[in-house]
Amino acid sequence: MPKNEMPSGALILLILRVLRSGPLHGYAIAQRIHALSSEVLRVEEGSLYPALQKILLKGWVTAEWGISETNRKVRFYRLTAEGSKQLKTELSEYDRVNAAIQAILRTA
Amino acid sequence: MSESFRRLRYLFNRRRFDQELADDMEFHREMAAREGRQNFGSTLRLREDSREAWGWMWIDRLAQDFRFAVRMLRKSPGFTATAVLTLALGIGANTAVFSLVNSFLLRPLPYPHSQRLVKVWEQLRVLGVNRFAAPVGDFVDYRKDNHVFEDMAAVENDHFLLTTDQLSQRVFTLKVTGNLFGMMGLHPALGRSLVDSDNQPGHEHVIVLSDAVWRENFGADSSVLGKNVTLDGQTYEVVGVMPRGLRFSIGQLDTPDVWVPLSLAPDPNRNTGRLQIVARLREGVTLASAQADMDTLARQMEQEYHIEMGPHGEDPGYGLWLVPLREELVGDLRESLFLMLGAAGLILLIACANVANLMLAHGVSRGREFAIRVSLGASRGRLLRLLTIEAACLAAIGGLVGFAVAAALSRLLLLWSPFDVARLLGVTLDFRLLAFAFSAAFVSLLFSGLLPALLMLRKGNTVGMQTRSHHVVGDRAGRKPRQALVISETALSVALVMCAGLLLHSFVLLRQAPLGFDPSQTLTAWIELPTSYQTRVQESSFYESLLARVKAIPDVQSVATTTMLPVEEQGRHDPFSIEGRAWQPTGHDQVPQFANNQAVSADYFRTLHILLKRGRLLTAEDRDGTQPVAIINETLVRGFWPNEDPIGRHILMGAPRPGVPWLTIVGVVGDVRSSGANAAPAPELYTSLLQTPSPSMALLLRTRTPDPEKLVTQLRSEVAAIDPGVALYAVQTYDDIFAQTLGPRRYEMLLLSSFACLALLLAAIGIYGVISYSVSQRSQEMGLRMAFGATPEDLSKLVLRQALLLSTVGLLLGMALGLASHKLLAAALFGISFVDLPVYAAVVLTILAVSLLAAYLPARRAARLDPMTTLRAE
Repeated sequence: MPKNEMPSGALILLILRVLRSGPLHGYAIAQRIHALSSEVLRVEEGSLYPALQKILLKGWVTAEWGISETNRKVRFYRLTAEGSKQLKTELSEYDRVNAAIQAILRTA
Repeated sequence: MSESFRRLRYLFNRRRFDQELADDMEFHREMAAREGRQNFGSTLRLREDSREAWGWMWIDRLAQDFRFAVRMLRKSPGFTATAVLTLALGIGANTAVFSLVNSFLLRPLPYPHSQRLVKVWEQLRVLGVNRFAAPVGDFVDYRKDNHVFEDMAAVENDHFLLTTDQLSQRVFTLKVTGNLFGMMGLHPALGRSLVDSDNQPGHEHVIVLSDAVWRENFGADSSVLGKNVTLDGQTYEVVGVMPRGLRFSIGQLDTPDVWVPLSLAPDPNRNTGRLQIVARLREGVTLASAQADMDTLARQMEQEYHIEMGPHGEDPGYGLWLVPLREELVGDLRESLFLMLGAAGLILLIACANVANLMLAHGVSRGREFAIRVSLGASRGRLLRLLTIEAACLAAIGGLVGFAVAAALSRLLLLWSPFDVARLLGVTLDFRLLAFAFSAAFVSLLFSGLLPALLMLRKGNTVGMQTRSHHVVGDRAGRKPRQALVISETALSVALVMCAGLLLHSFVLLRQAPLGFDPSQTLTAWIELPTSYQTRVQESSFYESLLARVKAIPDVQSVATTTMLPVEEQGRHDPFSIEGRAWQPTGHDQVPQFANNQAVSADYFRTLHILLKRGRLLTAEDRDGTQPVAIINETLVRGFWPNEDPIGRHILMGAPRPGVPWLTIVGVVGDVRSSGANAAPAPELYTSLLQTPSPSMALLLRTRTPDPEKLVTQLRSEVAAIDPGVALYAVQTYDDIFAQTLGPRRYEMLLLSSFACLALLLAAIGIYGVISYSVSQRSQEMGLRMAFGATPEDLSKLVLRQALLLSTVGLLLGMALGLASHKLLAAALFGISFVDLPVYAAVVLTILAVSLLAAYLPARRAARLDPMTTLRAE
């Protein structure tokens, strides 16, 4: 469903953001984003897992074992200190760009 | 930093990470399924996409391609074996020849700081005498006064009679300055080596033994230290033993049997010397600045001692010549090495062409496979990578096998090498050799792998494969390049065969070339008189009775003695003076004012069949007390009495000086090519043995038997009958001496010939491959022809004609290539120019015969085709 696809940069920002309130497993991340966006944004496996791998590589999250709500051993992704820092910069960057875009939209 | 660390950690724990990812996704899928969603893509594809983040996918793809390539190569073992073997031969031959280049020209000599070692020769530039051994006085002064050398050592060779309680034996001796050992890094295995204080007058009677002498004569007994031995009647104390397998050479001198100190006692003689000097430049001093400094020193020396002044005070151009030690050791071999390397390079190219051909043929038979791959979405890039990896596998295996071949072959090259210096330098399998083999393998990858792969994947071909894989590739894409390859490899082989043929012809001519004397049926031996012979009369009477006794041996036709055996030795070139004339500077193409001086017995010329041209030969009357006489050769006459009669003129060796009488020229003899048939004859001056005897003489026996060696025992007993103390050594036939001097040429010729044979074999395989492939491609056409009445003979002629056409084009190109490279070979040729019709004819016949032979089997197959089968085939 292309209309709900988002650029991978934005996806990473969202993942980092939903992880700020605590570690989550992959499916929960997708669920949380879906729910928080009032069911507008749907994160597909095909974009979620590559993005997670990328974040793992960057060291913004770590993966640890935990027990899922269905009582299954799964990996939870936890935001690292570096990840929080990254989230902050990305958020302020996003705000700046967003403000600029809004300014154009208002005046043009 | 930490990112690369994580990336690496991933690489080494890929399996675990992969499993975790799979688990995550499996869980995701379970959860989604619970919520009733089913639209998943391919998990495999998703996992691959995720893994991509880590940046290691190329390894996986490479490993995949590699596994596939290995599978492909294993599936066609015939193809693989042929390709690997061909490449291994090409790479092996190259690497083996390169191992010689490496040892001779690249690797440091086996001496400490060898790049700073130089040989110091005296020279008379104006006269053109370049390698003069130095007198002791000169050496002492140069060593004392120079500013450019860290150290200078002198060496003189000699032969001594070594006598112990048990036996007496002639030993090759080096008299050396004590510092030589430290300078050349020669350490004794036992006791001490010689030191500088041993050179002081009165301290010279110490001796260092070689391992061989120690083992043979002293039973390897370590109590030998401190014992006394006798050398030519004088007592020496053994102070050391050198290690086993020691090799030493500074050019003309090789590893000796024993080492003794050189006497540095003051010597007024400044004109003739016997010392070879080796020196080490100070750090930071260049050869040119050292040469300049020594030039200054030499001028001072010349003024002080009037060195080698001519009869009328002319300046012979005395000076010093510094030659880097490597140049001295291997300078002459450079050209020959490059010739061999060039030949080996051609072999590699031919091998590559052959393998490229194989690859093309192999590619054609895989047309269907490629078509499937393309239709499944493989890009041309991916196919190219696959083919390249296959070729790289072949090149790598070929390189490894080739390196092993080279390791064995370089040992053989060394073993058969006629150059002693090869044994000194040895061959080692070092990193340079590996790098060379690797580069050769890489070259073969480019030519034998990448080139055919590109040809196969040219635009349009892939489409062809999809539609009618067999024919389109076979006829359009494959045939032309393959024919071009066969033509070029034939051309390269032709060039190689041509060079080998020219060398072979040269060698045959060189062997048969007139030397100015007849070495057949002649036995030679050296005689060393013990020191008990003190006067000329004693020496003369020994030789007179020896000659008389030997002449009485039934099979001996004539016998003579001489101080030098032509060809075995190149002779000493010393300046000579003619009464009433000044020394003349030696110019280009001019007979030089130096001659080789030889003392011979009266029958010398008759024994060696040297022709008398004018005047008379020596007689038994030219003895002590009569007028001193000389015989000269035609070259000397040509240079100095071109239009006059030299008989009765006066001549002497060196400059006129008190106490040295002029010699009267009584005869002129034909030239003897002492330096071999390929060198211009030098001026020769013969004196009578009875007027100038020498304690060391060679004996020459012309026999009536084709096997002169059976006279050796009798010769020994005759010598022993006169005086058992006289040593007889180095007994061999003159033919053997001659054959040894031809060794380098023979080596070069044999090596190049083997390369040429290898090239022919490879070319034949190439022709066979192309022709037999074309027969299988054209079987339908052949069937048709047969159906329309062509006879089997017609068909085989058709095939043979195709082979002949290919080889004729290759032949013409190869001859042109050979002609273009004639300068490389010019120096190695003798008696023929580069345009040598017999050789050319032989090359043409050989190539045509080989190509017909290679095409014979395919032609026969064509003749036996069954038209019905071939026409039904498709």
